[in-house]
Amino acid sequence: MAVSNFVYNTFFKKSSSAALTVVVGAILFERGVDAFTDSVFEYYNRGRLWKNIAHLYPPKPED
Amino acid sequence: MAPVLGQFGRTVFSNFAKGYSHPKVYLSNTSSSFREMSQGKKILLTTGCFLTTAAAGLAYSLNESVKAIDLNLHPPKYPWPHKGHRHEPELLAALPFRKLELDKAIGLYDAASLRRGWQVYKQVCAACHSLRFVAYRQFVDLFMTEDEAKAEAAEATITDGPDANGKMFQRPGKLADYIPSPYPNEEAARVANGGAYPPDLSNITVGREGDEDYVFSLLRGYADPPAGVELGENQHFNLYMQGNAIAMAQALYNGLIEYDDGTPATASQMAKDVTHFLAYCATPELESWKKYLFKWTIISTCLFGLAWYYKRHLWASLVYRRVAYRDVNKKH
Repeated sequence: MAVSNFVYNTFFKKSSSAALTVVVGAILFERGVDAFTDSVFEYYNRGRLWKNIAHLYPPKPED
Repeated sequence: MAPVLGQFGRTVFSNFAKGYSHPKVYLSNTSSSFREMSQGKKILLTTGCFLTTAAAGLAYSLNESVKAIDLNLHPPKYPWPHKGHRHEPELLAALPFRKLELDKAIGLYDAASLRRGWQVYKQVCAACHSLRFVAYRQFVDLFMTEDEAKAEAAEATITDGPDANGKMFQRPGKLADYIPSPYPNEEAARVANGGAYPPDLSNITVGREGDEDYVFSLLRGYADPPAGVELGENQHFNLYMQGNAIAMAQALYNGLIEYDDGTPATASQMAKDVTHFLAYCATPELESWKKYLFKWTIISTCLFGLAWYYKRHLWASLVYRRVAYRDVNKKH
């Protein structure tokens, strides 16, 4: 109860702080979802991506 | 006879009156009266429904099997990294590097295969087939470095212009250039290929029934024509081509090119790699689509949870109310 009271009083009680919470929360949430998605895709597709195999193709010496 | 009829009529009428003299109150105003039917009618109706469904299923399957008799060999399904395995457990068992069958949902293109496929296209297919809607810049960090892509582009000769004098001029390619076509127009391509037009390969895997599986099967589908099959001039027998006569000769043979990563260049390896590359050319946005779907799933789940909580919150006062009735005649 103490936690929810603290959260309510700090983040949602005033309209201004609630609006700020929504905006900041949306940004953080989106960045989190993006990072999570990328990590899942990179983990599942490990070995397939260019960043995993780029070292196998060293740049050709200029001739 | 008359007494019998009279008895019958009285029975029917009394049943009729019985049925309608006590109107029932239904909670829902649906027209379904299945509950009210007699046992025989219920059985009849249920059997009829089953039989209708079975007949529809039979007709559908017969129709499907009729389609199978046209002389068109359908390609088998192959386990592409970006499309997934399709109900082929023995194939899945042979692929130890993926434990989960999630390729269809989150599988991306295989960069090494794309790189080999580009080599096959450049050294074999590009002699006749254009790739008009693909640019060199797309290859950067997908299966080659930026320097390599620039070098690839510089090898090509691009017609640019007009210059200050109104003339078109030739220049080496840049990253933003699209891959030049082997022929300036369709007529030139037809003349050079005995009347047959080599299609542009930019969208070939989505432009043919069977997608990647069809293109791969077509490249591996050359055979000697069976007895009795007449082929025209400049035509070759292919199992997967519609009508079995294709103008393109078999292009891929074992050891035709040399891969820069040392993979043995067998004909099926080259067919697989170039098909994978062409699949990328047709749907380069597949990777972002899959990521969007993944994100959409996460966000929708969260929004659903919020909506569910908000609905409970709004209706709580009604859902959890208790109504007590007081008998006004009773003295308290």
